[in-house]
Amino acid sequence: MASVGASGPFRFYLHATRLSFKSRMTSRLNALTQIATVLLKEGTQISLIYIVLQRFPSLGGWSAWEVGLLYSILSVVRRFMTAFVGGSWALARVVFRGELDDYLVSPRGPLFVLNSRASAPWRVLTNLSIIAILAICIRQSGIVLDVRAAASLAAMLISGVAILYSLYLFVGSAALWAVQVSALRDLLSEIQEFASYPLNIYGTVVGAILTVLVPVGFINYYPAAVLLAKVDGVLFSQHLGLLTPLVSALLVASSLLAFRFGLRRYASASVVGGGHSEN
Amino acid sequence: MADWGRYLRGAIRVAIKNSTIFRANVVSQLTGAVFTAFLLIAFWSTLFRDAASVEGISLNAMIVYAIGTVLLTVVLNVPIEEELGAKIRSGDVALSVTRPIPYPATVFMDALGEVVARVFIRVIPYALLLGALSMVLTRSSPLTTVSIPSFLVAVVSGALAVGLSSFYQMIFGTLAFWTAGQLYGLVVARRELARLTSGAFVPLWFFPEWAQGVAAYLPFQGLFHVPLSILIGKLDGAQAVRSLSLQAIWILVFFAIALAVWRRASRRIEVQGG
Repeated sequence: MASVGASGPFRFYLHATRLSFKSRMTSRLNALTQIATVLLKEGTQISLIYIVLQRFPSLGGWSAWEVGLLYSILSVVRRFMTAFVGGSWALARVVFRGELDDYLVSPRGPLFVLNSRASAPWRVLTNLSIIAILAICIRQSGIVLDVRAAASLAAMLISGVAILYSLYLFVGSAALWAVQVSALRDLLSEIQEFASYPLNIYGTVVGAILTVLVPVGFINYYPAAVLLAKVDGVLFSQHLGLLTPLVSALLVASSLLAFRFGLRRYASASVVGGGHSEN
Repeated sequence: MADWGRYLRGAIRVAIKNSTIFRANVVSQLTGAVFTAFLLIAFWSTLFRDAASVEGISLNAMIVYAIGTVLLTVVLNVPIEEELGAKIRSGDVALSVTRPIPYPATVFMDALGEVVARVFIRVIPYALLLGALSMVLTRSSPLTTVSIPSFLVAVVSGALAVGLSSFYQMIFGTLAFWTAGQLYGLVVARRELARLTSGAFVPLWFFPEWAQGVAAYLPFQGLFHVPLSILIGKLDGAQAVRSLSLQAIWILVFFAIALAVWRRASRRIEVQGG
């Protein structure tokens, strides 16, 4: 045990996730339900998309399988973020509960420790379902997944994880000023639900917001447009998808800056922990 | 009974203070409601572009329904399970059960206080703002699809939806006694079950017939679908009375289950330390 603090970052990450796993397994019922909810969540969202597409077959020039592709890319990104780097997602709640102080005194750096403790790599097993759905949507959309396409898909998925991580880090950093930002976090979740559908159906103004201000479009919409070589039904330009890695790098850098800047003015929030509802 | 009234007044006062203490969050809540309504209006406007009406629903009625979901979400999202789970995890539940008012009643009144506070602080201002927004975005008057009688019946149905949601959440919250206070999986499972069949995003009339048939046997349509269908006049007369009665029956069923689960759970209270 004594060697963990002095060991390498990878060993620390493994140790923290092992502890996290044990803690979550305190209640077997809750743990089993969590696994079931992954499938339930996918099922619910896919059912809703199916119902909308049955009633309204023309969805901004995107076919059912193409919309499925949009959803599955977003879902894979979301699942891998919470599995491996869940720290930014948890940050707002940690600040609100006054628990950040514990992370600040760690020699490893608060964000690294938070990522280690909030991640759940064992969820990769439950993520296999959404990877299978992504593979089916790719095939049915007519995408030929040669080496080049597979490499660009992998790059876009990794960039998507970085973009989503950064967006949550911005929200979590806002908590360093405002303490309670649950409404912002809820809004980001809500926006992701709308991002399961093609951005062009929301019109230019909303599309611009979801491209520039809250760039969730770079997680799934523009990358999918590139993979599909889509011309019609693409807001602004399909070539924007090629900028996805650049956008993710910029967002990671700026969100880390926001977090560091927030830490400088952060005063412990533990006085409010426990007694407040988060909604 | 006077104790209960005093407790409820206190719960409303606390809820108002809690709701307004974090100003930035109040602004974010408002921004979130406006942006969500904006997205929903854009979404349905696109889908209705080629049709004057779908399943007998005009675009204006659909927009009123969509804004209604934003407003109802505010009062149905009162976090009863999280509060219960936190108290069980921390052990505070041992203190709560020693109050002169039965603990399940205090949980319900806390939730009621929160709902009353949210109606005045959020729902009414949001309704005025989103109503105006819908007129600007659609360049028409979606609110003219709502009649005063249907509005009043929808308010009654909305109140029943709050009762339904509260007792439903109490059942799941009390399960924290069996899960060492950990509820995340159970809460998400409950939310997902309700999200699909409550009409919160896609109204049930757009579902395939067989799925509508299944949803009719579930209690969740009483959360969004019934109040909002009454609001836009899609459910009226005998159908509306039948739907309201069903909501009331489901409330009684959930109330009975919540009470039974609580009675079993209260035998599991353990106190450590002193």
